[in-house]
Amino acid sequence: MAQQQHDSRLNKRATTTMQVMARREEEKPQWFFIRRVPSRHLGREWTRPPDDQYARDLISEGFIAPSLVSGTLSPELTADIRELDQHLLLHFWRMNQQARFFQNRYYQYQWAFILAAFLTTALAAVNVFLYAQGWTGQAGTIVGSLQWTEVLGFLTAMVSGIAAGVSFLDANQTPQKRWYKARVQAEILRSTYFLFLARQTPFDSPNDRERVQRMRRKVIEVLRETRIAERPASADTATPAPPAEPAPKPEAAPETPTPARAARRRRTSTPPDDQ
Amino acid sequence: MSTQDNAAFQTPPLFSEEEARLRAQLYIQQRINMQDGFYRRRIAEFTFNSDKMLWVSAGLMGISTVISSYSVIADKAFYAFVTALLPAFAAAVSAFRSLYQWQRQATIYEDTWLALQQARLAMPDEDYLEPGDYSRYFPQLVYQTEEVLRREASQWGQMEQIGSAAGEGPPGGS
Repeated sequence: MAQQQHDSRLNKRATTTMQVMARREEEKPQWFFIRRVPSRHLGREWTRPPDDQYARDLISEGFIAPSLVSGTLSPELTADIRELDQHLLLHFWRMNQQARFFQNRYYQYQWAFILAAFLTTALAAVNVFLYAQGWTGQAGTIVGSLQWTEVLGFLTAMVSGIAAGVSFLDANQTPQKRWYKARVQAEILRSTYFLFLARQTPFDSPNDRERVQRMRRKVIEVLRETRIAERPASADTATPAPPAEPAPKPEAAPETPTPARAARRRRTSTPPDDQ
Repeated sequence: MSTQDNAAFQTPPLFSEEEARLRAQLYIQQRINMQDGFYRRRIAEFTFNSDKMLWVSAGLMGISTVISSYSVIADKAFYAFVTALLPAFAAAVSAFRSLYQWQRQATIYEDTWLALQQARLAMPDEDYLEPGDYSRYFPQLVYQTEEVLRREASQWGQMEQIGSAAGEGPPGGS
């Protein structure tokens, strides 16, 4: 069998940097209360960073940047990347940022509930403990006539009030639903990016103008779609059609969604963490 | 040459071989390897947290039992205080476990990771590729990989859809 020379055209420096970054992430402590603490400052809107940073963001998010390739890109690929950058990536970054924002907001609220429940119990227990120890009257005075039990009672009320406020916000903002929706949209856009680069259906037209037009239509369709999941799979144009030479299906490929399976999954899956 | 190979040659190639090779290498690096690394890191993290939190829960249960038993005979307020506090810790740990669902998430990611490995098989090993193979197998690689990833992503949509249709809150929500 003739073996083909397969020296990669990818920039070794760029790929090594990515590997180092991945290794650094792996080396961080894995405890969820270190890695997954919700951020206090995460903007809802995406703003384009300077070009150098943007190229790094592209690569770390799994897209193609010219610096990934040693030498120059082909004119075809350069044109494709330019069109995607112009018509698709802006929307991807926007949806991606929204997904991260609402995911962070969702976890902020959930952490607040859990900590509030714990603190309410803890403060009540401390209060009872101090009372049982005889920290009342003169012995339990902090300053003036202010008693420890009064302070703890006030703190308990404060924590309960914060929990009630967060509950109201959670019920009205529905951050989890918005997170799911934005994440699905971002992932469809990401898939569309690669289908376009690979010239897969529906971007398999030999006419570049037509291909770009289809991609632009697809982006609008994804953004307009408010209930993506309700569409039958057959109507979803994001679904790539089999290539000319269909290969055997992977044996371990995910099962075809059915209502029963979807109901089962409803209890068992959440989108990947964006943090 | 197989029938499948003949069928492939009947369709015009989408790219030149060199162009297909570059795009295939970029796709493998930026799409497949990236997802692969993501799934592996998450599986490791979720399995770690699932295991550790199970131990923490078991430890809390054991300590609670011992201290509450001792507080009956010790007749000291401190033990009663700790007895009241430990279940609150246990409840918090349990709440985090149900919030993150580490074990279930790890299982789902493992399934998808395996399916991704299966999808990789659409392209033969690079050592044994022949001229023309990149443009022949690259579309299949993309098709199978995107199918796997699309199905994984579609699970979240279904989840939201059914939750809304049934008039109930999203899973894991308050």
